[in-house]
Amino acid sequence: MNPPILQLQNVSYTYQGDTPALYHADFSVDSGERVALLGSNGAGKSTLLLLCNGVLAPESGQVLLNGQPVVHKGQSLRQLRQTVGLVFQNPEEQLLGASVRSEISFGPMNLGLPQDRVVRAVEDAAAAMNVTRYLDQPPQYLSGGEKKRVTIADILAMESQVILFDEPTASLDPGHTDLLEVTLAQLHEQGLALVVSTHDVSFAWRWATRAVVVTGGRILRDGPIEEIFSDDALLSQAGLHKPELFAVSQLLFPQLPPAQYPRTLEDFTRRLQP
Amino acid sequence: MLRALLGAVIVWGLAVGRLSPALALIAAAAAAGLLWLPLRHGHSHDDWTAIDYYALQSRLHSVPTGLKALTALALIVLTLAARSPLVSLLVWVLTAAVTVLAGRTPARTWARLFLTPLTFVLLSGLALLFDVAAVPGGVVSLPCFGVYLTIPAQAQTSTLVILTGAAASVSCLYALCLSTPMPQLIAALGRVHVPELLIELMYLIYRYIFVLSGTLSQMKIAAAARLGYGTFRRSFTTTASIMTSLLVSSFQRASASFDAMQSRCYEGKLRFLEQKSPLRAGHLGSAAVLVALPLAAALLERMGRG
Repeated sequence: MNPPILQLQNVSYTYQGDTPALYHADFSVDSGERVALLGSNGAGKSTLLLLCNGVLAPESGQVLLNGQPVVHKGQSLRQLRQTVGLVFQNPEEQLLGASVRSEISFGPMNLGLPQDRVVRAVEDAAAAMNVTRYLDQPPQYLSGGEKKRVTIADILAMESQVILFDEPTASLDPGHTDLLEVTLAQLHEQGLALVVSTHDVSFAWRWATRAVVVTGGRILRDGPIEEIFSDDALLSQAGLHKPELFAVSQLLFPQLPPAQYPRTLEDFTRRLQP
Repeated sequence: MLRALLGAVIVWGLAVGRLSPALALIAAAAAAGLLWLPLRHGHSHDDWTAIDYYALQSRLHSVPTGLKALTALALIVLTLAARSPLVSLLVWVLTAAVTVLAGRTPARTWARLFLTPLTFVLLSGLALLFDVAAVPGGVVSLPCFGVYLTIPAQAQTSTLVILTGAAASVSCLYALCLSTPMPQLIAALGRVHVPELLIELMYLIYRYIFVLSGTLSQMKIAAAARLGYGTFRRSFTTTASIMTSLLVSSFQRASASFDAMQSRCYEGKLRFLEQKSPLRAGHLGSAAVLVALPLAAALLERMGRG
């Protein structure tokens, strides 16, 4: 059996002069997975994502890429950052280029790709995120949702195999959240592994197959999402709510295994009809 | 108001002794009226991003930056070398026409933007035009605290040359920057080997100035919502604390942005893809005509004189 694309083994990390942000975390992602990273603010979700992408170096433990330990420098680190892309929570922190074109090109240029491949990567990523017509505009004139799409195109242009999203729905209105879900579905179809950190349990239930619960810097549980939402003690310990659809389904369909509970409202109404 | 007054004084100073006194006054009044006009129409929604915004909208933004920059430079050199009000006027009209008619920058925006540097040009005109002398002389002598403010005839000529030249040069620069978005300008500077450090700084400043101003305006709104600007005294303390937290948040933002750069394999060198626009014969031809017209005027004038 092939090793998972990305694996964290017993990783700990402490920010300077602070209590540890992450203790002995074991976490892995393999191709095609849809993972929701659940936890309240300050639980350690962002730290975990920064470690996965190599912005932070583990204090102890190790990060493995395709089974090979990552050395935190040079080619090995570049390989990790290319394979595992990270979309930051706040687009203003990530957007750097003076135009959308130069913004999206930043990653592929850093990878040292030849000019014509960079051009192609930028155009493909922009087309996939539907931002082609903004290519020559500076990012400050885009709306919040458009900025988010550009930050995703940034990562697509690097041809990553795993994309990590830090709270992608936090700054989006419902319309743009729907669009984001469509985007996530498209990326999943391309075989990418996706990890999304979120507080939005309803979104997690709709979208993810696996969930990882983080609280107080520890990974409390990692497993199929229906098992996690079935565990009331776990949810209250992590300060998470149960998705309403899930709670209602528990009452209405006690005979069904939780994995077959409806995940969307449409699904739910269809189930109710005789 | 100040600008209109200045304009009137300068125009009168330039015209007095050359035109009849009545005509000089009419010219001064006309200048004041002209400078007053655009002010009275919406100077309300003017802000510092106007140039950036209109440069993006310009029809000329796809013309190669190098060509635009060279044309503007050639016109400025020509204006300054010719030292002729007529040539300056021609350059001024041509570049304004290019900006407004070909680039489709709204005329009112152009006028509003042009007036800002014009105030400084007019102020320096005041110093050039007037002289302080112990005895009356020149075309005009105004007694003033025991000495005389005079306008020498020679100063009239040189002031006219310098003022028209400055106005034409400003118009050339506006033609360039109202048709060229900043990123393209920076990229062009990079191509002529301006040091890399400066280029990277320019890119970063250009990007983050918008982030910073966005944060600032949010903070101001939040402060106003809590009556932070209620009294004059209050406004002072509010502004001070906004500036402090802006500094702190800049540091935080910088560290977060650095993380984001690193996550995309940043290794100490900012590299971006640049869009190159093709050079078209039409563009080249128009640029040639733009330079040839004032050049011909300058040569003709020189021949006529000499």
